[in-house]
Amino acid sequence: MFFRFGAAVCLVVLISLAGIAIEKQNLERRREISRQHYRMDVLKDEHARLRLHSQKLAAMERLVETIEQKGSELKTPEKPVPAPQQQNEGQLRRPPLLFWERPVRDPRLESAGRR
Amino acid sequence: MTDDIPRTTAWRTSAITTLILGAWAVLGLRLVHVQWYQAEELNRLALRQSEVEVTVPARPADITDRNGKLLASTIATPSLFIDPARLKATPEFVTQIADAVHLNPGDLAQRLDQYREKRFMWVKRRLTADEIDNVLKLKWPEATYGLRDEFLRQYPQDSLAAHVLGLRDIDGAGRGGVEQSLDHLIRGQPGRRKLEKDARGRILEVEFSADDEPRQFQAVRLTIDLAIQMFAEKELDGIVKEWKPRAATAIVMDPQSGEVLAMASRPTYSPNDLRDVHEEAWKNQAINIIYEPGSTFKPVIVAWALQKDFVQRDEVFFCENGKFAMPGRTKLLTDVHPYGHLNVTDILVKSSNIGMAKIGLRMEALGLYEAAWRFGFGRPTGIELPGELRGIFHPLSSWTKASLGSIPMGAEISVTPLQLITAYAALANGGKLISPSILNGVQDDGSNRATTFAVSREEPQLAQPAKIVTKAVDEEIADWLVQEPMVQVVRRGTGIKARIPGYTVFGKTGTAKKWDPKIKAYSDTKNVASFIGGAPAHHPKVLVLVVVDEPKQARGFGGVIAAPPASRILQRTLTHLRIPPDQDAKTAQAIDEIEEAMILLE
Repeated sequence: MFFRFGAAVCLVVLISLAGIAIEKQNLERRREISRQHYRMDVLKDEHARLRLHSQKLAAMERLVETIEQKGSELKTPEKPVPAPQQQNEGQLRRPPLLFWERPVRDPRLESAGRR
Repeated sequence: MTDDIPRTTAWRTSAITTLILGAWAVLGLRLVHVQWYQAEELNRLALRQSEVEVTVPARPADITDRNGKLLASTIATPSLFIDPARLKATPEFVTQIADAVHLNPGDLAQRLDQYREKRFMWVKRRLTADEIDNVLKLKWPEATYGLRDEFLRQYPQDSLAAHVLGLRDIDGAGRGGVEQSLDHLIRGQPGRRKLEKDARGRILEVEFSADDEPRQFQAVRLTIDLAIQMFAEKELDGIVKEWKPRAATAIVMDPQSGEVLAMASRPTYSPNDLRDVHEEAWKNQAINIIYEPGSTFKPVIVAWALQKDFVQRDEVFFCENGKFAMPGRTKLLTDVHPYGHLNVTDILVKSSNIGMAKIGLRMEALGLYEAAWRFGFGRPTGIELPGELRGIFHPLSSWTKASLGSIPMGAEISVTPLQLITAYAALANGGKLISPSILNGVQDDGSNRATTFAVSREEPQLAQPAKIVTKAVDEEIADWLVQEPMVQVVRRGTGIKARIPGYTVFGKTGTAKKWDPKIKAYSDTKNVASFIGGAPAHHPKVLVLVVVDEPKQARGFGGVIAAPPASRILQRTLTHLRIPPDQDAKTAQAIDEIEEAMILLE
């Protein structure tokens, strides 16, 4: 009788311990989710800050002043300057800067490295 | 054996047992009462004490130009507050804070004195990065100060398009420009978050729910092109430097769609630095001021006169050799130069007031009224900017006989620059009066959540503004007016300084005297010089208006003051938009030679 009683008590204790462990795990997951949300907020703030900073650096008025200053220093060469020869026939021509809209992602260019 | 237990002992044992059992029974009943009967109420109390709901403000949407370049954005930045009751406001302490956050020590000391019994006081809102570093270096005791994040609106392009953008005040409310008129799209909807706290007030858990998160658009996109805006602003700076006007404005518009590509005003201000802003700088000269358009109003009258067959294209009028005693006028009506017979084209090319007066007499009051109304004058255009004036357009009952001569030459009517360019857009696009727009669309945050702002459910990523299109005149009349008289104005008339090599430019100059209330007459020293033009004439893609108010030169003509900067804005815009020239080199040279010869002959 005592054995059965003891076994019943042990079973109840084990189930309780399992329940506590699961609940702790559950709480830990929820805390982790909260931390992720917090990190997301921090990252969003940082993204907004960096985007603003990059746009300030690329502000129209700053670029125009720089271009106008450098433009006055440009001199017309005496002879036309030839374009650089293409070394590798298989190498893709990079699109001209004026019409550039998105970076051209080509594994061959990336593996060859920047010029 | 039990007979041996004394009766008192048995009685005591029973009593104690009864008491113990009774106590347990009471506890058991209390347990039942608490766990079952009062369960709901106590749960509610516990939640109220442990759960706190906080409002999460929505980040205001960015504002970009039509190409995605940032015009306005919001960052979180800390604001400094202190607990005045816990801090001793010694002079040294006051100087320390004032130096750290760049405040006036006297003002700060006064505020600290006012708040000395309080537990909360803002020291400065929205600190810069340097100021935050300075504050942290002070190493104040804990629980005496704090930093709370607030949103700070920044304008990376500084004063570019300042009047179009407006600004957000310290409380985040939009003031002026699209910040005010499109506030419902920009400000977003705040969200809620539930925090679970323990008995000591420490936060145990934050409950996130997708439905309760703040909702906002990522960006509001305007029709403004930042490059074109910059061209316009630079030219206005040049005008201010050379002619020192009271005010100036430039508008660039796509006449086919009514989209405003640039809108600039002088004086102006920087929304990032509001110290010492002149009172006049707050006005958007494109919509918040009215002026008499002068000769720039003439093509509108001629268009309607042709539409209603009051005049024919090849009709000739005698312009009285420069002096006309018009019925109803006490003073003679004069032209700048004496002209004899002029056809309709030359009336516009030479900008003859007498020629226009004769057309006006033929149209009579009703015809002139209809002309102005048909082209949108006397009412706001409906652009998505606040404070737009409707202009002054007197009711027919108050017109006099003299009005028949004044209205056709752009007097006795006051318009906003935006109304004028909108009317010219109707001529340039084949006769359709289109409401101008500054809003291009909105960009959502990509979360695919349903938004409840003023967007269509079918396309939640874009919010297209409503466009009102009405017919002003027939396409044939509009096209002829643009491709013939208005091209000739630039080729050999008053707008000669607006010519652009390679392009067929059309336009009209305006030089309107201003009414002086002191002398109750038109001033001889104050006028408004303007030029409106576009290109290419066969299919106009760009329209530019420059208005210069009171240039510091008596009788400063529109063709001299406004036409050259308008021409430069137009040329740079055409190049930027990659609109090819409509004249080849030989044709352009031949036209130049013919025009120069014609000018010499005249």
